[in-house]
Amino acid sequence: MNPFAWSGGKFLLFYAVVAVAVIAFVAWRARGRSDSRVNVTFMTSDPYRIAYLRGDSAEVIRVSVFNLVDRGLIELREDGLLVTVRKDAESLVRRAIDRAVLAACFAGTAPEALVANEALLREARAYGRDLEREGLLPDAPTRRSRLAWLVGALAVLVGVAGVKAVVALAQGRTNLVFLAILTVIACLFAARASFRRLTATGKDMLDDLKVLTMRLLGRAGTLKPGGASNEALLLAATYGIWALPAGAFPFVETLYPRPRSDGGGDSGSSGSDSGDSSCGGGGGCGGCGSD
Amino acid sequence: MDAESFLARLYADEAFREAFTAAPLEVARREGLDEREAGEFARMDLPGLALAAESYARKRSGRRGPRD
Amino acid sequence: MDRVGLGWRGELAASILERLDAIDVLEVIAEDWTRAPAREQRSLRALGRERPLLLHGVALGLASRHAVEDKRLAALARLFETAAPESWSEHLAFVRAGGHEIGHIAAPPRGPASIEGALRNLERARRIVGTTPALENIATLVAPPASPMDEGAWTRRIVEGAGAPMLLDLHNLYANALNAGIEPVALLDTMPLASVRLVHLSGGRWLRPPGLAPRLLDDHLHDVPDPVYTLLETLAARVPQPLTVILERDGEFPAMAHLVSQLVRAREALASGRRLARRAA
Repeated sequence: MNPFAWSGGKFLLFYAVVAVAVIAFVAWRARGRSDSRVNVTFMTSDPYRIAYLRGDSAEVIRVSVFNLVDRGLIELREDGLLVTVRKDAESLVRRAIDRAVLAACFAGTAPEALVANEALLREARAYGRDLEREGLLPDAPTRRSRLAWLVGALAVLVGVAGVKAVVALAQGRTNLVFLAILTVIACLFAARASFRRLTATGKDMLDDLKVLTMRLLGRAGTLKPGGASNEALLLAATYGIWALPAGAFPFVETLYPRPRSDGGGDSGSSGSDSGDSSCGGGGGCGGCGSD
Repeated sequence: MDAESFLARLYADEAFREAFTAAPLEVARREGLDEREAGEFARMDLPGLALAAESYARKRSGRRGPRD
Repeated sequence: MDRVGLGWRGELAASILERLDAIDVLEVIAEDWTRAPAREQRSLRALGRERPLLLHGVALGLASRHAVEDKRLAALARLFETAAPESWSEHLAFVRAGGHEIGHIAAPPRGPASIEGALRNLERARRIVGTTPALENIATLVAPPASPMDEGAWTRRIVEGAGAPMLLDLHNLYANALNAGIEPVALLDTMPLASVRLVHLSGGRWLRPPGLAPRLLDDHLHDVPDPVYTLLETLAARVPQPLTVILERDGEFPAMAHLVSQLVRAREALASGRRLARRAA
């Protein structure tokens, strides 16, 4: 039984099966094993880590801007520029990225410019290094390993298609368009599967954070602005700034309008999860025997 | 009906509870409780029963209390 | 060693995670998670890495002449396996009977039938879940009729008969005592204190129906009243075994600092009780 001798449709089916197996294998290798040594409090003690895990440097900057506006350290002027309101503002924050944002806003700057500010992006990337160290993001050896497996996978995908092409051409059959398309698609999927942004540990951590804060998201409508508690910041970091209720935090939409393509995956409207999830996450027993 | 099921029905079934409140001994006997149990149910704390039943009804409907 | 913890409430996630320094253990409500997908249940392990986790069931209805449904025990067993808590607890209560769903825990007639039923249910629970739950006394607005036994004797028969630890809810005990017109300490002394391992503290409010005597309702929406801390001190003075005390608050959440202050008071009550015990010895 020589699959390379099979006719067009039959071989394409065979190739599809091979491609799925190769892609699944590469995805499995890329994901790796979840290592549960990282505690959630490592993340919640600095919610900017969560923001980076969920969405990388630009997201850290957005959450930082939100935090500083909420705390009254920078304000959004009528001309659309963010301005640091206090000369001593930098002494009131402990995070380097916050100090950098405050410095960038001294002379007034547009919110979107902050997200593209190379110095701020560099500052935010420090979080990425922290997360790599903890195994939540792939580090350099992991990335090299993933690349090696991808190269192997591409070699198999292209190799199998290449052999069939040679056999077909030798038999005078030149209609290889479908095979070529399938090969390109398979290679693209293999590449996508290889370059998962998070490690298995990172994905589990983000999932755990979302599950554990689901009910907090459900009561986001009761949150008060002003930065007195860490709840708004934790929600902004975990679900995105657009998860916060517009009523209490009207400046969010003005600062960074919600992208139209946002399907609400990371940031849902407040209260959207309340009562919908099968995981209550802690509603209490409501009093023993009574009301 | 056993005493436990009878008590559960009193908590959960408003119409049954109203009928019981109007004629406790009769309803208890009719539902098959023995004389001793029927007598004890007939002497039960009816205001307490009403309060408890109201509380359980709120629980069943998912509401917590007066603030809802 | 005595421990003081808090009921995990997702609404307070941010505050609780920020103030774990003040919390020794976390208790989660089982039924909040039994229907969740396994992936969500596994998140409890993340919580368990922070603090020992206790699982608290509220819907089995173990103290009943009727058998607890296998599917409920199986669901709890799956959660227990996935969440890997330190232990679990449930109520000495029934929740349904004769096809009628009460909707919450209620006191069954306290007699041989509910005792025997409870012991059978507990044996099944132990087999299916893997361990015996700690058993909690409940508050009731109305004394269950057809009860030849008082609450203390009935509780003792089940707890000791099953060899189960007890979760003594001091506000439930306090409410039942006041509503029955007896001294809370007198009711405390009828309980199988040697079996107590866990303690619940919570608060409630007075119901004042027109023309009737007021009744204390255990609603978990109010602060722990002073007399309940006194009961905790008394308990700590009476028993030698370590106690794990959990503060329960289900809503009307105050600031976290306020909840922490109640944990501090609980620690002080325990310490005071232990000092009293040492002086008496």
